Amino acid sequence: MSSTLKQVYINKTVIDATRERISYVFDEFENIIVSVSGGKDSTVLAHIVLQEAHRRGRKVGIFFLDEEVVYDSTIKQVEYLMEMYPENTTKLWLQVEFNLTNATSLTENYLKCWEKGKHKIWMRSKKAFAIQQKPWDEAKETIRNKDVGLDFYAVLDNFENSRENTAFLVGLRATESPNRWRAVSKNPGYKNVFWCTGKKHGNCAFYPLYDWNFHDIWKYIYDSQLRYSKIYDYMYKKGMGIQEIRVSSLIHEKSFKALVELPEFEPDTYNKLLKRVKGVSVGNLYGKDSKMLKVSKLPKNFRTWIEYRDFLLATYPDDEKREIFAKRFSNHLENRYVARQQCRQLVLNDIENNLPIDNKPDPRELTLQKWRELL
Amino acid sequence: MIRIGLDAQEKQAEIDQYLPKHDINKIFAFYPDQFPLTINAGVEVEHIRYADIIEYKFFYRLLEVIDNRTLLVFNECLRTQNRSDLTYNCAHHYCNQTPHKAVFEYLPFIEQNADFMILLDFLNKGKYKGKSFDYQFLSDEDVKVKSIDFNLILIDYPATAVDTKKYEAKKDQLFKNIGNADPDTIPRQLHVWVGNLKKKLIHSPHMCARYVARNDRFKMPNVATYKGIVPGDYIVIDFPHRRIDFNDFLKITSIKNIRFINSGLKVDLYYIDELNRWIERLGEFYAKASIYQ
Repeated sequence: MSSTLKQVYINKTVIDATRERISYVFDEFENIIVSVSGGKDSTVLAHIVLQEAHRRGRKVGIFFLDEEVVYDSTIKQVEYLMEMYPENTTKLWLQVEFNLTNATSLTENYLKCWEKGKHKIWMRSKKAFAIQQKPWDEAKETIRNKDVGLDFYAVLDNFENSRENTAFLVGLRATESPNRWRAVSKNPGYKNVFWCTGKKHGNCAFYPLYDWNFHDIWKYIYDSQLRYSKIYDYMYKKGMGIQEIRVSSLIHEKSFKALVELPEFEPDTYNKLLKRVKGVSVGNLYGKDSKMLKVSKLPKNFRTWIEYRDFLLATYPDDEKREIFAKRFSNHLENRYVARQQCRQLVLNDIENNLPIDNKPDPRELTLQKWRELL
Repeated sequence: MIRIGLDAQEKQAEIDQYLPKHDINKIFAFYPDQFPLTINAGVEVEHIRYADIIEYKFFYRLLEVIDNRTLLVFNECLRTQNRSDLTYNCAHHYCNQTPHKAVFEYLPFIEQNADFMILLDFLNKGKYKGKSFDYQFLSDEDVKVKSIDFNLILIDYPATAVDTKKYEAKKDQLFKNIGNADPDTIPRQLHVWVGNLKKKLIHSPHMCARYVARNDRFKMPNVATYKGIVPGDYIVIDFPHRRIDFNDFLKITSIKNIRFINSGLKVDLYYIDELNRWIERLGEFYAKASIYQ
């Protein structure tokens, strides 16, 4: 990592720095939209932005892309955020039909959330004030992956593209992952601002919380007496680690593990989900099972990860999608290390390649060689 | 301050000297379960387990109360080589709120001198963040190092020709059956297997010393596990696979002369070599530290 990505402490709190950043965005942009997920980071961001809007007597959009299959606590949290400063808030609660990866079922790879005609089994009714039709020109609609169609990220793209000269504020933090670190610090996206990504039509995504640490977020919530999703308390009481304590969707390839605890945390949400999506009980039973959805231990029926991968590929129930995997794997090295990752993609239906393969020689072979020589 | 190699009385003496020179009204002393430190002082002292450093019930409370009249004592808190470990990160938040920090460690590092940066981070995280170890840092801070000279003494108990043959067979079997298990388990298993060959020596009427082995497989009153040791002298049958467990053994027993039963088989020689290198690194640290501190 280059030296430009190092954290340097200065004599200013992250709160003061963020208020200055937000003030700058208010000075530069007429239209401001805060993206919220109901999580802790976007709660803090929305609060600071709304305070600034209130101070200036301006309105900002609070944007929530409703994936339907989310915790009830998330919905309550977003409702809370949208009611915090109603006179300064434009509610942008988007409830439109799009595809969500379902990592828990091999027969129903996608859930079409808010699917027309299935309103009787929707997790909840749509909000009266919500945006229920696509707010963009369908003729100009873009998708990222033709195998998937209109997915979560494509909806975000289209929503952003339907706006002009708008600042989208996102609660992304650099310490969450190296990728996010790079995203928020590598290149200036607007004028000389590094904590920003330039978008089409004069839009920009700003990350005013980019330098906040995990504890800064919780301290702010505590000091400001903000409400937060109850899921965090449940997870904390359950003894889950900091990396595990997060609020997200319930069924995609990076979040299905949440299904294991869901019946404990929110039994009603789990009951509704069972009726709504195939494979939910599989996610509940095996979401953290090392030999099942976690794919960290080889099932005993197989001698190697290569053998297991070949089995999964041969028995994959959808011929068309099997071809996608086969074609992708043909570009990879043939070893156990790579094969384990391929198994994970197959088990979790990762057609979009969201769990990228680290395609390199098996490090285990080198270790074995070392011990053969030494012992 | 950082003090290396002190016993409990010497640590208390350091605190006794520190308190009158500074305006301290409370002390928080952090310690891992294996190494409790009872501090007697004329001010309020709260002892907090190392494992509790990350707990919210302590974290936010301590952030509220630690100020520039608080002394933080870290006793034997070098528990992992991961400099970015969550526990260290939480501790740094406490450290940022007071200039008074006393760091006590029996050894200057777990495996290598880079670990010493973890101790310096306690003193000033911002200053040392991202920096690699340099002996110069020892003269920049209040560091005192009391060296401990370790010697490895080998008690030769050569494996017989039959045992050597069995060893080769066992080794081949372990490689053959490794399957998908971690390859690093091979030397560990082989070392324990070789330890079993030493049982005859332990039974010998001439050997009435206390022994330490990786686990409780011998079921003998004079053989302890690394978790069950008490201060005193021991002969090592087999080494633990984590260096920190062996360091803990050295700290608890205060052993300087490490006696090890050497079968002469390659796996024992590997462990002997690793320990000798560690002793060498330690010696180099003490020698250079004496110049810079």
